[in-house]
Amino acid sequence: MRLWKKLLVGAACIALAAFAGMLSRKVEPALATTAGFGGEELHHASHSMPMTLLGQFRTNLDAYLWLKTIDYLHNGIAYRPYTTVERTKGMREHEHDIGGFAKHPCGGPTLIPPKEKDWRGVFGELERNLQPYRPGPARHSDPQELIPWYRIQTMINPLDVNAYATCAFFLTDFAKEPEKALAFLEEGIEKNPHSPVLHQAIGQLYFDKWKRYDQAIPCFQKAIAAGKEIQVRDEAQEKAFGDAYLFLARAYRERGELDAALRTAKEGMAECATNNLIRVIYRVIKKEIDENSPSNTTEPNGQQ
Amino acid sequence: MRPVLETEHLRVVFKGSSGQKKIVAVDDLSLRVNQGEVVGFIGPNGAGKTTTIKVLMGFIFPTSGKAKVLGYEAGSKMAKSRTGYLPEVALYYPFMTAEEILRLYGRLQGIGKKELSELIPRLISRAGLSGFEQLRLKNFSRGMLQRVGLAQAIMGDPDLLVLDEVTSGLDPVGRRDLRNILKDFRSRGKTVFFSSHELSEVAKLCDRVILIDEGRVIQEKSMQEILEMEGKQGSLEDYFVEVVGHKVT
Amino acid sequence: MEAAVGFKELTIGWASLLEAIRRKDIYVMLILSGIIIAVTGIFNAFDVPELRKFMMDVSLSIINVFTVIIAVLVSARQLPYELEHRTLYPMLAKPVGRFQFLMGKFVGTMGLSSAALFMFLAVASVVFVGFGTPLGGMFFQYMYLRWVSLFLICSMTLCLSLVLTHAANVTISLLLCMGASMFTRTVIIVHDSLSPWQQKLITAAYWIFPHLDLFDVSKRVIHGWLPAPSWTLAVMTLYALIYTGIFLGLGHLRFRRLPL
Repeated sequence: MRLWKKLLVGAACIALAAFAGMLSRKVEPALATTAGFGGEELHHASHSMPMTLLGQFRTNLDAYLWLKTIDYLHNGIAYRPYTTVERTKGMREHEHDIGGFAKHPCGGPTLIPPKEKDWRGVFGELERNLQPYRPGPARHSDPQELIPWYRIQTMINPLDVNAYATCAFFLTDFAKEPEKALAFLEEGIEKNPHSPVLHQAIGQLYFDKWKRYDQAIPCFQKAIAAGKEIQVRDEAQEKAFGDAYLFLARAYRERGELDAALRTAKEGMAECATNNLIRVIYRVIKKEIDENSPSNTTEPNGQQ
Repeated sequence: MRPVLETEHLRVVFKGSSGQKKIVAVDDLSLRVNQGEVVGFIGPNGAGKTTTIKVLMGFIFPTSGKAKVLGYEAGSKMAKSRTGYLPEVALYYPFMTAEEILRLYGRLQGIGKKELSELIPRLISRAGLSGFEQLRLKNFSRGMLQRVGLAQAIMGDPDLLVLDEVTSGLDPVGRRDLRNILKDFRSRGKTVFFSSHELSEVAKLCDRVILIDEGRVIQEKSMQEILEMEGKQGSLEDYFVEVVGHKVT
Repeated sequence: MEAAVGFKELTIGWASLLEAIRRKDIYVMLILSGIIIAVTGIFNAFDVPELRKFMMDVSLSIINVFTVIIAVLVSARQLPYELEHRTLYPMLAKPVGRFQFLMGKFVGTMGLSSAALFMFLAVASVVFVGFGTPLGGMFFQYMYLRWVSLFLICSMTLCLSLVLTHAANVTISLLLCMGASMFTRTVIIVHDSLSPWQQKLITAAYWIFPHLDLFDVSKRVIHGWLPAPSWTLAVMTLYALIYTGIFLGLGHLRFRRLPL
């Protein structure tokens, strides 16, 4: 190859690398996604079973299915988070939570821009007609359709706690089959005995659906104990940990054990400082205690 | 007499890769082959024989000069439609049988389906490949492949045969068959232009010899002239060694 | 004469097809089709109607990937094989122009890739219908656009095979085919964040790169969307043919004076 050709190829490679670098720098912050699995799950995955190739494959397939469930929920329409530039203009995703742990990013704009914002002319028009596209906020398909997906996910990767929890939520709230949800969660607990997420989910099922506070309380206690064992809790674990305190306090309150409820809420406030609902329930319980015993201003643990 | 094959001041220069100098493969080569002639094109290795033949077939393009075949520009469809060509290294689709490859070339030659079904068995027989029609070419020896190459070259009864290293890989029987084919062509007034290292074969086949070296025509002599040079050269080989003796052939 | 020209191209194409059959490439395709049945069969074993969507998703994804791989690999090896094994000398010594030879190779690669695609689709159709998923108009649009995309893929890879080494060609062609969607997504997201000259650069790149992602309408099939308007199919066909023409033209410009 002639020298000038080599130089040209070299220059083209450098230009391409620079171009790719420029794009990746722009894309990286905009597309930062939350981790599919928590620290505990990953810890278990890497320690409880050998990270064989098959194991990797199972984890990847499971993660792929998780992404697919989001795709199916939106009928194939792709959504994206707002970019940093869009955020500086005040654009924010609306919180779009269909409940449980199926929180997902469809509060942002569609990936394919609407006609008035699209600079691509005929290509944009073609894409809007050839790909799943609907302007405006996301509309979901029937979440019940996703239940089998989560079942398969847990078959492929039994350590996928979020799949267990989300599926149980869908079974309870959409399929109206709480018994099946309970059985599914118990199966999850068998595979993940140290998961605060699953203990909390079972406790909440007893609490919400059957009002069986006696059965709910030990579950929340296990969730709290499991949560405490984890040094760095991920988002889902942190939420479950906080909710366990919240609902444990509520369960005590429902049983009339206001002192225990207040003690729990107070501990919860200390452990989960960001959980405002615990703060609310603390105030409610404290008010109830004050109303029931106006002369008693001493707190349950004896502190003033 | 009408020239069938003609080059005028033909020059082919290969550009070397960076840091390497240009290679002049053919340098101011002018030759002329008339209708009905059988001309041997000989020269030492690297003399420019194959390059010249490739120019005549349109595989490479001259840096300067002209090349005409049958009165048409070398490599043109008109020229190729009346020319049979045997490449130096005969490689054919190994996944095909002899019959299939001849059918393929026949179709490309523009021969009709019915005509081909009559022609192919005849060609196979003439090339001495009877009994091997259904054998895949990957199982053929070099000599057998050369026979396939010869069969495809003479397909369609071309007016001009251009054969590069024609005797390569052929056994004595194959050479005899080849001689018979070429004699038949000559007897029918066709033109044959071939290169070969087998000088004894050249002597047996051709009317005239063009000797080239370093891309230039060194000498042109009829076989009669060579044979008449009694005392000086007893054979074509002696003549060749005398003229380009410094080269390894 | 024109008919004869077409006939010669078909003859060269037929040789490529025969090679694939004799080289047992076709059996590889059959095995791959078998994989589709196996994969989809696994999900049907759950007997859950909702999983049929996934069955379609997996099948169509496999078809997309395998079709592109086959088209690229087959197209990439045609001319280098002929040049390396010198099998094109006897062919080009016949009254066949170089453009005809290139077109013949294109016809051959298209024939082979199309055969693979339709084999995959036939298997998938049987499986879908067999498990109670009707084939709607969108599925046929998907089939058509996938087939049309093969024109672009085969011509692009053939063209690149004349300027790149085999390995480089396969890598770049696969990247262009598989990365088209990612490129589009990235460009859409970052466009507004870029400076004006960067925007011009990226817009030019967007308009120049072949948009193979637009030919994949499998998502519309999977999620049960209605067929796309017919004008989009017409535009996509035109788009594919224009690019095919450009690539074959560029390939011819390179091949017509290439010393053999």
